[in-house]
Amino acid sequence: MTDASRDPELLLLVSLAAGPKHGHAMLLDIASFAGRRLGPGTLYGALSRLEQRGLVEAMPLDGRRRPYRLTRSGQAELARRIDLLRSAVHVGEARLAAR
Amino acid sequence: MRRRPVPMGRLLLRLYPRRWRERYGTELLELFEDVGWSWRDAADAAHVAAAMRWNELHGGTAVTASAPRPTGGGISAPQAVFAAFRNYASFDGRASRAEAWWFLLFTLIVPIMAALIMFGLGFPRPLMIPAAAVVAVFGVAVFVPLLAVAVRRVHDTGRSGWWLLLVLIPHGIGPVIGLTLLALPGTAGPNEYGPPPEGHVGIVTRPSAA
Repeated sequence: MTDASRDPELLLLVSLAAGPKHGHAMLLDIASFAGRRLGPGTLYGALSRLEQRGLVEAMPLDGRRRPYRLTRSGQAELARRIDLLRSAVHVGEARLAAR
Repeated sequence: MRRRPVPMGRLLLRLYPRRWRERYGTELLELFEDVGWSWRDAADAAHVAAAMRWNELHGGTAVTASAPRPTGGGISAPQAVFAAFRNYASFDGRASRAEAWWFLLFTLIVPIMAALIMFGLGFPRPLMIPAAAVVAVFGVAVFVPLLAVAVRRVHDTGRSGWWLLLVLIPHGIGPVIGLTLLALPGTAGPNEYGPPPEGHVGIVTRPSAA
């Protein structure tokens, strides 16, 4: 994944699929698997959109930080996105190989 | 112990739509504290905030929080222009910054667009004079409401409208004072010129709590 900021929402869904996290933990986790650190602004912008769509939900404050977790529809959305990516990979590879 | 947000953070939060800021502002600042401040991240956040504002202006899904918030605050550009015309020669009461500045922008943009079209696009010569006349009529038409909205804006800051006479000071000093007067925050509660402008304009439902 070269440009992580292109789809921060996907990265957040993936990150939260491992369990509830607060913002800083999400940044570190995403950096570890996507190889790029999102800006706090990008992260919170995406997080607020996901919360508005009911895909993630806020949990009670843990000290100064607020953890978030994936909702059921968030899990379904991630599964749907992964299916789409998988078929894009298969079809794309096949078509490139056929050239 | 809570740290106070650094000035840059405060400034940055101002860029976000109010409702977003009220829901996520402290969390975003905490995150900035966790990762350490950098210009790069500040620019990133400013960019995100600008995108939200843009979406909000264009009727897209304004990023709003799930937490219930009292409404209040700004009005949109078209609402501001309508409000200014509706209160055409009303020199009483108060006007919000949004109302005054959107209307000022409107009165500037129309002649600028007209000039660009007339001189930039090879406007047919015979139509020049009628077109210029239309722009002149526009200028006359907006002068009174512009003056009225400026007076109401200065009222909003708790000052008499006569303060606007300071714009006549020469050497560029007057206009700077005038723009400053228009930019000063309004008094929080009612002042001698009436209640805060949200209720007065009759568009936004409740004056903001806090």
